[in-house]
Amino acid sequence: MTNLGWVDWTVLLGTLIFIVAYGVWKSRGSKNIKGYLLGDRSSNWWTIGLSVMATQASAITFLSTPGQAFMEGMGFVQFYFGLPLAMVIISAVFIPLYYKLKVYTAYEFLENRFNNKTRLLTASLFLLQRGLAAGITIYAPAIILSQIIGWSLNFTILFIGIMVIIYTVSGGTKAVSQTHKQQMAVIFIGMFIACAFLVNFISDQIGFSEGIKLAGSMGKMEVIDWNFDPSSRYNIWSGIIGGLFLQLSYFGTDQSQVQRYLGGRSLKESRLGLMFNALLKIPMQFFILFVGVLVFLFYQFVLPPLHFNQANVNDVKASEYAVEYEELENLHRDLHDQKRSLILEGVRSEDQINNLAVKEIALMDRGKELIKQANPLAETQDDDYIFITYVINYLPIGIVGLLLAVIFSAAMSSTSAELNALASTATVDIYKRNINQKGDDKHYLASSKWFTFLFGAFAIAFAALASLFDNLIEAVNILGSLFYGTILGVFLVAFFIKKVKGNAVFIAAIISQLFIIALYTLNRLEIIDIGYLWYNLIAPAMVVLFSLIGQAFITSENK
Amino acid sequence: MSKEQEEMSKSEGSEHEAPPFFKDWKGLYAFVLIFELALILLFVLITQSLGS
Repeated sequence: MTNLGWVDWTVLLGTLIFIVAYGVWKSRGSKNIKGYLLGDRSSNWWTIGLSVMATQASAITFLSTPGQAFMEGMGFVQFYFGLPLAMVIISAVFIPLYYKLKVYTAYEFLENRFNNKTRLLTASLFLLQRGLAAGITIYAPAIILSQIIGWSLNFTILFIGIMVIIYTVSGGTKAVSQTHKQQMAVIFIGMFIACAFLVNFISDQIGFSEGIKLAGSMGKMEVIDWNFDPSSRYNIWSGIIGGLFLQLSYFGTDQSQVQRYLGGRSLKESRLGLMFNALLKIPMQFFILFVGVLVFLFYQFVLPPLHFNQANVNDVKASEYAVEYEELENLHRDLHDQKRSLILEGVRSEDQINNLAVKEIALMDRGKELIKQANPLAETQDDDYIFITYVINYLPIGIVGLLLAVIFSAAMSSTSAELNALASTATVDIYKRNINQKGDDKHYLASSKWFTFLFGAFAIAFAALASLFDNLIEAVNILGSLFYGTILGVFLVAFFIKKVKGNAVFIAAIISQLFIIALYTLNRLEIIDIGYLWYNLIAPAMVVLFSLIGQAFITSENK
Repeated sequence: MSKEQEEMSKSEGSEHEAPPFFKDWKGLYAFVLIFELALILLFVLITQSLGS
């Protein structure tokens, strides 16, 4: 835990309160459901573009991504290579149809194309995956933030949840889009300032270009991996092909994204918003990863902790393994001093420096083993703590508050979009369509607000309970990736294969979903080894194939 | 024409509205994809010149 000074608290709380108040004020007076769920279709292209980016950028993006670059280098950027092409396809094919039918949700389109049960199936899959994910969107950063700023976990969860509920319930889509602009501004300013401090520090040590060469020689600047290996998480092929299908699914069929561009002033504004995202997303992710590489360079000159999660370190130091852990810390200090001396003397030999780096990693791994022995329930993966540890310990007063505001803003921006989309789907696709069709506009507006509140309360409760269950985050993430491909498959059939009708696609979706669950089970049992990004290609292919077979069978039966 | 109809014609009519700086949407899409290709080439260069 770090003691924040009053300046940092003022910057942090002032920024967050301003964003919430601005959101409530700018969106006051939504009097009908169109205003509440579509923001009166008044957003311009850059509001849409920023809102789409803010929805995807969760707090974990800013905690985890620099840590990932610190540990594994820049290769994660390949994950986004399919995004621009997905944006083009959505802009050219998906959005015109959504606009033509004037839908409130993506799933509403499926009833026009197929039938109500297909709409209900996809809307339910969305509510299930996104409803659970909303809790995790709050919970995952809350674990880290609570440790850093010294709040209890439950208070941190409540703080994030209530801030989001206030403006999302009050102003709906307009509040979400307006606050996304402020949140993205805070995020960009904060990350640029962090980057500037790092560049300045490294330039003072060995010069910026020498620093980048050093990072390269230590394996951190390998952006592209050409190896076609289905089991590897990130290479150019899984990024372009698997990534294309994942991004198509996320941006084209996930209501939390679809709602952002359906609120556009016109088709043109919505399309431009997506093109804005297509152009900026890869550079933005590259930049965040690059900040992680700079943090890695920073810690070549400043002694990093043996383990970045201070709570784990406190636990091991209070256990019978304290002496052994402190010995490891001393060895780590000696090793780091040797490495730093070599770097400052201008030695760039891979063998010399990398040998020391390998020994350093071995010490860190041994430290993790001791942490696990001291507390078998401890989560020893500490990548997510790397960037925030740098921020808290080495950035000046005031900037620390701003960077914490970045993380809170990112948590709030993605959660608000999720609650907004969950409420829209629950109101429009489930309640209005299947339960109560006789209400007036005022009734559905009130229902939307209640659903937003209830999903917010559920997300808070789920986040608070999450700490009681092991591996819950992983389970929810897996659940999401298992459904995405099937939902995309249904939409691809809807858009591109006109002869397939509702019953065929419905049965195909059920079969494909079961197949993907079976595939995942085989993966877990280590009988096969397929990276999860490929599910997003396999599932839609299965839906398309079974839809065609099913439709041919139904047609011949009817003859 | 009612407000609803006006809005409908506005959104349907805008399907053919060109983006700024380009004759049509295909031009903008091509620009986006060429931009991505340039980024990938830059990343290949970075990997080749700085990779270990």
